[in-house]
Amino acid sequence: MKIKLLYTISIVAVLTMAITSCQKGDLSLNPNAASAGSVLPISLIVNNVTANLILPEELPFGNGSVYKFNQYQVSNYSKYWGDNTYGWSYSSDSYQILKYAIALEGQAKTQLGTTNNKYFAISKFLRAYSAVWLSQRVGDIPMSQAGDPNNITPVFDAQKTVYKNVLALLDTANTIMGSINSVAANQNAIFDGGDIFGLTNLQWQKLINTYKLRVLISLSKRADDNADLGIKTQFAAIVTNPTTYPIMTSNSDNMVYKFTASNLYPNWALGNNAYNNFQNVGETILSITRNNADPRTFLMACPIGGGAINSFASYVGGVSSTALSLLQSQGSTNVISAFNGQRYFANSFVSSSTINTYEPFVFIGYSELCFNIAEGINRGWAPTLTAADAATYYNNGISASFKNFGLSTTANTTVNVSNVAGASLGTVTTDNATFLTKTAYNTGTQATALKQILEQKYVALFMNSGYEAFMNARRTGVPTFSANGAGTGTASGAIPKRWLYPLSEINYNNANYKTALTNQFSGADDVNLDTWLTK
Amino acid sequence: MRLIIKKMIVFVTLFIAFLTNSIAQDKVISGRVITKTGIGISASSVQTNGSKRTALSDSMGNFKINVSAQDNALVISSLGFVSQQFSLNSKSFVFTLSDDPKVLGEVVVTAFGIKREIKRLGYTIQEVKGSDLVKAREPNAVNSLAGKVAGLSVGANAEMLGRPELVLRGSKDLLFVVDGSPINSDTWNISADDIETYSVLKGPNAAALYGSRGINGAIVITTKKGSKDKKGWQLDYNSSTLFEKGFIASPEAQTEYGRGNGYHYEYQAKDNANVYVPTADALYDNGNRLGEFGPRFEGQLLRQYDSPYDLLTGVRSKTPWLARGVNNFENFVETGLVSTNNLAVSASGSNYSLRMSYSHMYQKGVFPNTKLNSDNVNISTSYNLSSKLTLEGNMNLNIQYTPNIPDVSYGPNSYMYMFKVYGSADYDVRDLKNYYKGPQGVPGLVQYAQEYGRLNNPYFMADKWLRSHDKTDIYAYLKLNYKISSDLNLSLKSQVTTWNQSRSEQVPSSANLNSYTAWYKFGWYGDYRLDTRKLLENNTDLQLTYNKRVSKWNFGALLGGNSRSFTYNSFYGTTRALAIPNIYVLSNSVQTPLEYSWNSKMQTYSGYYSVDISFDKYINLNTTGRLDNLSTLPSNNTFFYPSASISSVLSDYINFPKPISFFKIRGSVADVKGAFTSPSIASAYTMVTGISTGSLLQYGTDLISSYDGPNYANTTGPSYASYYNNTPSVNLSNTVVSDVKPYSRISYEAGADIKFLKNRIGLDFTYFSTTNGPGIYSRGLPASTTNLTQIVNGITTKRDGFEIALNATPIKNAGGFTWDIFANYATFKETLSEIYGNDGVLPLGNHNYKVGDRLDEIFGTKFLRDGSGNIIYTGGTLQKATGNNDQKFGSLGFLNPDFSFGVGNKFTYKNLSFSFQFDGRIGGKIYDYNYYANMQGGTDIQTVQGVIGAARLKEWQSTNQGTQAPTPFLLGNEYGAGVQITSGTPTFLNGAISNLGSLTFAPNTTPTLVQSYLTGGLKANFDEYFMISRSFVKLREIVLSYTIDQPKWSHGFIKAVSLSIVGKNLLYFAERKDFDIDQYASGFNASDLSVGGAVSTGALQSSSTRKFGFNVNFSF
Repeated sequence: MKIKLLYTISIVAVLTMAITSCQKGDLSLNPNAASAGSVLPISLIVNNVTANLILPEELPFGNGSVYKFNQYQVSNYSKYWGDNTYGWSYSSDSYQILKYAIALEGQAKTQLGTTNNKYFAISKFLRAYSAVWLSQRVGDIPMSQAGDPNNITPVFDAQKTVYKNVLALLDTANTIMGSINSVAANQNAIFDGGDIFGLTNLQWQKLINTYKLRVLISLSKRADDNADLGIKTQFAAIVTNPTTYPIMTSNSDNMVYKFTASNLYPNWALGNNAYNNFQNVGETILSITRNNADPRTFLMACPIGGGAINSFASYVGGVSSTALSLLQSQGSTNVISAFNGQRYFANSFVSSSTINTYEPFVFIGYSELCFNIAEGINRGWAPTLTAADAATYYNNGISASFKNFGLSTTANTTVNVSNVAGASLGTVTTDNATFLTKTAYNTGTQATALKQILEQKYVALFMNSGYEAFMNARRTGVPTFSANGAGTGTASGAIPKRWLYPLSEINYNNANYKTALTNQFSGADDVNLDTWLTK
Repeated sequence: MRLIIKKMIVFVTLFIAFLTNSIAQDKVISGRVITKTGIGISASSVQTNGSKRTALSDSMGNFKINVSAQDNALVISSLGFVSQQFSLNSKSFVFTLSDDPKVLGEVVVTAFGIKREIKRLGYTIQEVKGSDLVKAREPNAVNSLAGKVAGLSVGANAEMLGRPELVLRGSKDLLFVVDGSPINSDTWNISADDIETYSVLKGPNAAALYGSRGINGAIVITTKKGSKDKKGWQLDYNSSTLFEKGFIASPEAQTEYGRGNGYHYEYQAKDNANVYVPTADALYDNGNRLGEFGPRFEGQLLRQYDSPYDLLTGVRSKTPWLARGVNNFENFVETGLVSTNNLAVSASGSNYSLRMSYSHMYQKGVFPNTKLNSDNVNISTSYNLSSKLTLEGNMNLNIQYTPNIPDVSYGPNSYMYMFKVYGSADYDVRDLKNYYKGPQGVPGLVQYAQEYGRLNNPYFMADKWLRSHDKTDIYAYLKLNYKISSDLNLSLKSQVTTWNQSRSEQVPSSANLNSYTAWYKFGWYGDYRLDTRKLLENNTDLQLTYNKRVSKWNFGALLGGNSRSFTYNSFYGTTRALAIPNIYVLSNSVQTPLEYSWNSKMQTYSGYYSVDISFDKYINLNTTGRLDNLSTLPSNNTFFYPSASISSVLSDYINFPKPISFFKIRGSVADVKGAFTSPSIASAYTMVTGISTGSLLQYGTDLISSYDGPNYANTTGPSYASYYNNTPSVNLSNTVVSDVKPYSRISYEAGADIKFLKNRIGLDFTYFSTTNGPGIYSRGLPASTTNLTQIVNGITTKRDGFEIALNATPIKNAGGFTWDIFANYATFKETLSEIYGNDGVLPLGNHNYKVGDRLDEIFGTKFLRDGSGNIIYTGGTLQKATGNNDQKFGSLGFLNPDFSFGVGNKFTYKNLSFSFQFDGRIGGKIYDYNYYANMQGGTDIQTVQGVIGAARLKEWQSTNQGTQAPTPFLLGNEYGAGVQITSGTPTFLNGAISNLGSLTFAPNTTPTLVQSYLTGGLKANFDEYFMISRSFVKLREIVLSYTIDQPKWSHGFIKAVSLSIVGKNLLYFAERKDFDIDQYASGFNASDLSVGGAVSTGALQSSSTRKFGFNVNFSF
């Protein structure tokens, strides 16, 4: 009897342990993620794609070298800020933007039942933006077959085809947004709660056309020999027809990345950071602002050691092509200017009260737009507009840029000059008249005027808009970038013209990659060769 | 009274005599077979001498047999024991077998805890006795296996609670099996004193029965079971005390120059752009984050952290700049201690056995206020419910707890970082003992520290910056065994392995995180992190075993089924700056705390068999198979793993020349598969975001736990993410999954076991060849697909190698002197044998590998040289190669060692024994991260030696005591002044110049600053410089023991006493001794294509200590 009881107890004990622990249900699915075909709130996709539109490398003082390539920023200490070389290798890519554009279309179609809604408009802009981002860096790229889940080796489209598709996409995007905005109530409605930029429907439409002008201007070298692209006519159509093609009209339309308490200013430049000593403002930009007696100089840079704060001669930048060892000496003895600590760093450690006082990061903005239009008019792309119109846009561009610095072109302003640590060194009252005289738009000589436009655009883009400053200088040669020194870091001493293709395309799309090289560069993936865009 | 007892004895005797008599007619008798130490011997064959009836003993050694009139004796035999005939006229039915000296140690525990005779095995298993590892103790039992098993490398981790890196034949992530069931183990839940034997099942052949989990081999542990002597019980006490003092590997720091920049330093508000113009005095110097590039210690007057500071005027006076802290590291570290105590009681009777054991391990770290406690309770019991039914149970409870363990990774949390990377000698660490000393210190709020930018007061860190660890780890089973007949046995076993772990980090108010953590800066009130993990796994096995001997055929079979059920839950949270200081709860956060959870479940059903057939003395054949059905795969989720082995003892039927006393050959093949599980797992934060906690915080490393559950690599879907201002967002998967098949590993093994001179010398030789793959491979996709990877079957590697194990007894004389030697040698090479589809190359890291390439060859940046070997400079700085990977990177060497070895000697004279062991690994390269970090920090001793040291001194002299910028003096580096290109444009290939012929060179004449060279040129761009030889040899342990059996003075109370003096890690031989290479056992690992010791995996390494102490062992 006793034994029987023990039998029972022991068998039950072992079996209970064994049976209660079996898992039920479909365990192959990851409980920590949704299933592949899930319906997702559209605003989440919008959130992702707007939050990640600006690549981390394009933010100021981030981990990337963009602003060193733009020669706005020069490192004097490799350990913290890297070197200033142009030893380019594989390009990064922008296909993640395409990925979310496709997802946005998919979800919008599923949930709204149409393929003609505002999300489709934005996704067309995103498709265009993503294609231009990579194509201007490398040349031909996969576009028409990109993002197809059934094709893991998309063919490369010729760069010209890419731009042709881009212009068409942007036009369609404008058309869709236009019909939405034809209802007045829609215009000032926020586009979508997920949009981190917080733009209205109308502002998105303006952004699309503003961006399209940037793309058209970037094609300036191809405007004459590719009539089929209609570069000039499309330019004229936009600048002369704000009803069909609304464009940005002030800084308030800017696409601005706002740093917040949880999206802090890039880490290494945060607050009163000792590492900020180890970088300087580039001489390429300061030589322009210094020569023009540009009031923005005081807010960009600190005066060098012993220099009078109101003398432009006290604002000397680091030369990008200088050997790093020499820059380190120059930096530590303060014979080259650091960044104005008050404007760039001191307020950047966000506490709730100072969120709005640091440098706003303009990604696509009104000031740049003005210079783009001025350049187009200068080039004669809008036959109905004159040099005087160009001058107006040019002046508007400068004025918009001034506003971004808290300055005004119409009245002199007293500004705080600070050291890199953010301590005030005193105040200077700007002398706008001298600056405006020196930079007055030259209506007489088209080439001189063009140089003025491009220089002022370069100044306006200071520490903003990602690669745009570099792309402009590559296309136009203005301003002249410092090169051929020990710090340039390329075998030939020259600044490269393009990046190598993304490594993943080389490794896993090799046949198409090789065809693209044959079509463009006689088979070589060479950073020193021009693509169709800049030839 | 006495009379009554006498009467009773007579009565009982008579009764027994009557009983015995009646049995002799034709009766069933019950008996028990035991060892000399009283442990029941299972599976002994019992045969009556007349009627030739047979029976097998059960797990307790009990048997029942029918005896007839013609029987007057029993013949009892068992593996590993001398067969003996016992007369049935004896009074007792307890039969003691003595060990067979011929086959001593030749029985090993194989998969599922089945004991098998080595003689009959067709594959290699090496066994280590638990008793060999309890004297020279390590905090972690598994560390003690180092050097003892051919082909097994144990990378004993120098960190407290660090997990040893076990590498068996080049594969990491071994399976731990205790008493036949797999356990989930971080190796810390294994208690050395409770272990009878460790069997190392090498490679898939041996572990085929465990399916995918045994793919890399297994360590099969048999725990001690109950036993008794005449008293009916036994008590053992083992105590070890080891002290940790002195380092065998530690970086050497210069103490000539202190902290600073450009040979300048002052404790002040901030080093502004012009470092040579002093700025304002400050109470807290929180703007400086300086390397050791400051002024030379010459007694000059400078404002320093402890210079008098007038709180009223805010003026800090100057004090002499001297190397006050030359011995800071030595003054800060303390003598470590590892103390282990174990008490075990065991008992057994005719129908039960019992063992209870309690161990306590206490470790005190070498850094103040670091400690670890571990309690371990092991209870093992078995009870015969009837002659056929036995219930067996075992439970191991392990509890680890510590308020603080140190962290070593690069960052402000690390003492290595503080003393070795940025180890300025300008302060005396002993001055910092009062860490709230004024004027800087504010009790409970602000620490008194040597600076406030990069470093912290080490005593403040020790007392306040606490990283706790609490873990409860249990594995237990119940097993019901039913003997259907003497040949057939059925068992049901249910086992649980579970643990629950919590780790927290309290970052105290005023801790300097060096602006690393985005939300945290100087003056804030601290931070708090919590990481909890819970794992539960159940294995239930139903097994049928059958053994039969038919004339010359011996047949053994096992048929089993297993259900494995797995659950894992984890959580990670961190505050983003504490709102109220010193309150460590997640809600006390200035910004919304970050909180993440990650869970998984899995169910596996398996069926398996094993069949052994042997014919006479000629041949032994074994085949196994296992069928797994995994829940981690939606389809194609059932797969089969076969294995087969064959062996023959040639010397049993062929006459060999006399010196050869034994000759056996063997061969085996196995095909094991694996799928979508990971051996280890990171924090919930990392699992959810794909980003490590190290990246989140910018310091520290992710904690990796043992896991063996689903990794969901094959399921892809959108997950939650937040990218901007805490707004919700979604992250789409970048992985595409094809219909993949499980990972496959086919392994062939052949070997010979030869013994010479009456088994005095034994030589075991094994050759193995393993085909790994096609694996489940995360192949890249072109970015233009908008995905990054596809999961496919691809990448096959081939690994060939051999192992030699030698055991010899050169001297064994009648006088009681014995000299034993063991030695082992292992080597292997792994090459790429197949790539996915039409891919011509396998891109891995920064190199494209081709078929036939060794995958442990790594590539990186190298010095550019002219035709004569001079290094090329441009503008005085090192020139570097540009372009694509093939152009920029050249070979840095191979990660895997050429071979590994271990040699042990043991001398025994009567009661005295002395043993020592050397082991090491020879060949290969490793990236020395300490070297790199200490050079760029300006701290490494080499920065004041040779050409660099001379230039540094001249530069210092040019600064007028650090008040003006230095004149550069460093021309080239220690390899010479170098050259510069005067004409021609270089082109690059494999990290070198490919067109030397078209270039002209002239001597490099531009000097550069030492600081610029160390922090820029060298640091960032030249991996070659920091690749060091991976060879090392260690004097692993020395043990001197004195044993007394049955000491007379104890009057029989004590059975044995053993006293030992032990030393561990006593000597270390390596090219550079700034860290202990031993820790990095793994080079290239085929399962996850990871590379250990490459540039990309470099991390700051702890210094390794020497340990010595004593051990006392009593048996009662």
